[in-house]
Amino acid sequence: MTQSASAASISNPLFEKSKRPFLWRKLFSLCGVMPIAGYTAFHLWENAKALQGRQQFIDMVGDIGKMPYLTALEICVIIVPICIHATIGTKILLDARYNVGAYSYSGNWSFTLQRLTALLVAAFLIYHLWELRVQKLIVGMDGGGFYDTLCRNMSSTVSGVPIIALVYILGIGAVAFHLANGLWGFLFSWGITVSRRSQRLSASLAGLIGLLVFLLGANTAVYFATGSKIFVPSEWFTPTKPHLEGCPASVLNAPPAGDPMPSLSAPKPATSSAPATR
Amino acid sequence: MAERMVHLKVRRQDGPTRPDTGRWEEFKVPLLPQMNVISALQQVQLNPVTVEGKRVPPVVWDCSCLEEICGACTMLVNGRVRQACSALVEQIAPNGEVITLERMTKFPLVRDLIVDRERIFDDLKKVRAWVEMDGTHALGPGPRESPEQQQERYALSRCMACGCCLEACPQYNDSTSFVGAAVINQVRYFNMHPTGAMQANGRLDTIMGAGGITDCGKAQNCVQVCPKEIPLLDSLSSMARATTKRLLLGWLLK
Amino acid sequence: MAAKKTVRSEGGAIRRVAVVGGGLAGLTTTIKLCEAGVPVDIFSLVPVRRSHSVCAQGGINASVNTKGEGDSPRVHLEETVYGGDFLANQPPVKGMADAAPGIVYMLDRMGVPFNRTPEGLLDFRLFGGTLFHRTAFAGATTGQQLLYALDEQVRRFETIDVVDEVGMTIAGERMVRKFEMWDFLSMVLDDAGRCVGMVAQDLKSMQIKAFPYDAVCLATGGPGVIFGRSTNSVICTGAAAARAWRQGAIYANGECIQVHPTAIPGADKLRLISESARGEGGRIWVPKDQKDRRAPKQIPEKDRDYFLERQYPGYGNLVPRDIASRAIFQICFHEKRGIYNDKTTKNENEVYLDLTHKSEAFLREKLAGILEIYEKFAGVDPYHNPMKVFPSVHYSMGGLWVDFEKDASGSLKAGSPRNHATNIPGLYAAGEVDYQYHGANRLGANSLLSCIYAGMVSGPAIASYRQSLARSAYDLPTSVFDDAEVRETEDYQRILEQNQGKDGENVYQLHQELAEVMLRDCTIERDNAKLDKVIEKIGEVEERLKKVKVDDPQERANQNAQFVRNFESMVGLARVIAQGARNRDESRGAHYKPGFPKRNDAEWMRTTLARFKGEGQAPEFIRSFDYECAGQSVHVTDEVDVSLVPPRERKYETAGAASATAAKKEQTHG
Repeated sequence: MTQSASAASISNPLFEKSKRPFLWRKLFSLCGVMPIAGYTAFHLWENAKALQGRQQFIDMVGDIGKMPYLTALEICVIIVPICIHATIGTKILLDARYNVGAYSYSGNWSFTLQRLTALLVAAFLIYHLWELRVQKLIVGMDGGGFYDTLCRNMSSTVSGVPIIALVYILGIGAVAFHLANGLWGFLFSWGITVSRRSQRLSASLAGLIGLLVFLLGANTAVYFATGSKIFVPSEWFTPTKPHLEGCPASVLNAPPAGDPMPSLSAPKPATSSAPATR
Repeated sequence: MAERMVHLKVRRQDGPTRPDTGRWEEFKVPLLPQMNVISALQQVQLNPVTVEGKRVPPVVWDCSCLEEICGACTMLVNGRVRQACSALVEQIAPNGEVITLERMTKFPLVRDLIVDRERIFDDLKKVRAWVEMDGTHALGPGPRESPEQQQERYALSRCMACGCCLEACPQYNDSTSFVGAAVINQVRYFNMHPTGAMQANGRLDTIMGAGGITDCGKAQNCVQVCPKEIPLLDSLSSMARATTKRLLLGWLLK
Repeated sequence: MAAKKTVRSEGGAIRRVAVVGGGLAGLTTTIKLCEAGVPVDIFSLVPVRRSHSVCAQGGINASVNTKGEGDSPRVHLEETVYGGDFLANQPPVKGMADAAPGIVYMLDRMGVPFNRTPEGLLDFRLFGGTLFHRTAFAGATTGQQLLYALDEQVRRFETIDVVDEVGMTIAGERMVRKFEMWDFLSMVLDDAGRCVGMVAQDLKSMQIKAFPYDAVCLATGGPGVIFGRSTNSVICTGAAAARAWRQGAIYANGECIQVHPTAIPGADKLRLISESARGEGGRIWVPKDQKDRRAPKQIPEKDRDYFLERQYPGYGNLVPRDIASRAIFQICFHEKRGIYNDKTTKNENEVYLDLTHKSEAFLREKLAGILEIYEKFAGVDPYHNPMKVFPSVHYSMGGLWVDFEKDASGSLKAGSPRNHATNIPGLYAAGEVDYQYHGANRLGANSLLSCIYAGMVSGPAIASYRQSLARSAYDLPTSVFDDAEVRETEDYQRILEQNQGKDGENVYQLHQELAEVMLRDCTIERDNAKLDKVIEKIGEVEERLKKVKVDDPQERANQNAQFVRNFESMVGLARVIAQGARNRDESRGAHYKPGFPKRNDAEWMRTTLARFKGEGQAPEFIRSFDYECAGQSVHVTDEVDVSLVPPRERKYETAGAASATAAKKEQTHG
């Protein structure tokens, strides 16, 4: 009989080697929700400052830059969690055998979309970081540079199609879905929603959060692309582009998106007045 | 009046080491009253000739009880996993549509429609899916149980280890050691029993190991395809809670 | 002399015992052997969790008397032998009835989710042949639940190492090893005719292998597939028992085949609707008017004929199965009063089994398992529509002859190596494959009990036998086993090769033909002239069997060749059944001959004993024989041991007729 052996081995379950996959998965799940989802929501909210005008956006970026322990925070709350989530997530993604064709239930669709959006988010994130964050590192792009780049890229079109703006909308959509569905999954796999009723409730709640996150992000993106706020339909087709006021000429005469980074060496705008927000 | 026919399309292969023999064969057999897929295959046995008129070895498949309680005849019928015995021809092919039959994909092939589901039973050993009893000698009745709990346990106990939930689970495959909903359901079942609960932590520890509860991807196909309508999702979520609790508190208490 | 209690043989091998069959009887035997320290190999056609026991629905009998009705094992014994029409030896039945409460408690401790009373105690329901609530149940899938509980306990032993007689663990040797998807081919017999092992075939690779064993226990279930469509699983061919019979084991009461009154007609199988449906209040009826075309719900009470309640006011719908089946057969076949079908414009062989007067919630709690089957396979909602049912071959009371040893109380002597021993030393039989407990008719919910009880008795019996061995099978020359392996391999080759290149017979076709006559003329009603025809047909099938050709040349999972071999054995058993029925000129329990409508105790209160005579020959029916068990020579006759309950006429017209003890109690209560 192996009873005594198993009795001894269960006394400290957490420190057993066999528990490592479990702990990594818990960490993966925790990273997804606490730092990443939290940061994402914060990030989209703070970027909504752009709706208030270029200067406000620049001030916001400046304020963030002045936060204490910024680098440490960036590493601990953003970079490391994302790396953990992405690394383990990649393994999870590769381990699954997708079968939504044969079993097209809503749960299986969510499962598949969760992994599909993971890929989209990752791709979008790489682009987004290259577009802005890497530029900060390389050429020291600042708040104004971020704003201008976003305006230029997103309002650019190829054959009349605003490719980059659409990439942003899709990216934000993917983020919103991945976040909301991930939140539902987190509540499930941490045993918080056990009953089916609570699972239905958390699904509605997560859906609502996802929708809000999407609207929050999409609104800013649309604003960067068109100068309109999606909540104010009358301005959708405004011929002038108020959000571009104060931007340098290179932004105003942006080339097609096929050449995405034309103004890296463009001089900083001499003056910056807040664009009209209304 | 022309006799109504059943049109079967069967995926065959002679053995696991013979992928070269993988093939589809089609058969037409006369429709009988209240016919199911098994009786259609039995008709093929009586006269194993394909639609092209070629005489072939009869199709081999697994079956036993024919009333959807032993779980043996599980296969893919029209691409979806289920028991062939309860797949009534009139229901799945009311107008004589082709019925495709394939083996389950998540288990090693034996031949044609037969696979080896040994892994399920091995996993049941891992989680110690039994009540640890002192012996079968007379020790009086077991613990009392409320009718409510009995009904709840009964619903879980009907798992026939058919493997439907595992076949449909995107996470259950050869690159993970995931034990799947069926086995985690058994952990819940035994942890609910007053005597079984005495080994509850040991079972939880097992599903906190590799291939355990965290491998669940929450695709929820399991609960959709379970022929016995076992509340597998509830079992997964409550075991998620139990393991989380053990994670958060277990090391503090002991 | 080999040390009698050693785990290892002189050559150092682990001395194991084989259990063939992983149903309730096989698993219980295994558990009991493991508890006695005997390592076991289980052979099973299917993973044991898929064994036919899983199909049992209604429940398991035990006179626990939680309802305060005055039930007791004594009453259980009386009703069982009365229900079996006094063909069962009574000491084993007493042993079983006495052990029943303990068995149900044991299962309860294993975690079987038995239905409960509000107080949390085991609930019991009514079943056929009794007026007491004696049947413990887990919904309407009790067999499944019991099988799973035992399967789980056996799985536990699969993880436990063998411990030798001084307490040393033998690493890498588990108490139980499973050979699932293996077919039993034959016993290995030594020069003295002792069973020292068996030959089996892996149904995946088709490899044939001989294994030495100190003893072999057959727990291979019944032979229902001989009748084609029955309530049995497709694996219940009786082939293993038939092979043991061909090697000299005696087959007893083969003619006693139970036909269950209520099953759903189907193309491939007849699916059982448990007696528990009637135990929980279900009523059998047909319209009074033969040509009544109304939907059943439209037929008012006054136009319905509840014929069981009318004919048997004492037990009503809960008369024993043989009686209910005959009554339905009478209505449908002889009176042509089966349910009228508008489409076919004739009276079909169907009667109503009606539960619609019970609430849906009640039915879901107690009977969901069977009503689900009806819903799925008949496509009609049985909660609101009466079910249409007809009798179906269900169970074999007959089986391999097994011995028992009586103790002073008239019950079984615990641990005697004679219990459940066949006449071949070293071969045991337990479960439906034995003939021991049910006489000429089995009461509902006694089969699960008898299977488990048989296991509880066989395990210790085999352990005693193994201890008595002067020489372990493992110390015999390997040639004994090699020869057996070669013999079976050659036989398998014969099956693969015979008639190739010729226009041979199809074995499945042949099976259909045999099954048809067996089902028609060898079940509910039997007639000597027709039985002669059946026997003739069996002879014809035997001849044509020689022309059978295997269509499948493959090496792996060759079900075609396997079925040919099975069928060769089944035909032999069909002969035993048909010839036994032909011989028994009386009516007793399930064996009913309209030409001899009365029971004839003077001539026929005796066990039918059939012995294999030779290939293609009629079986020999004997009155007595001698055999040797654990060094003891035993003389056996066909006399039935009726030492506990004196035989009397069986009548279910009046309430309480089945038990004198209960009737007496009834009187004193006033």
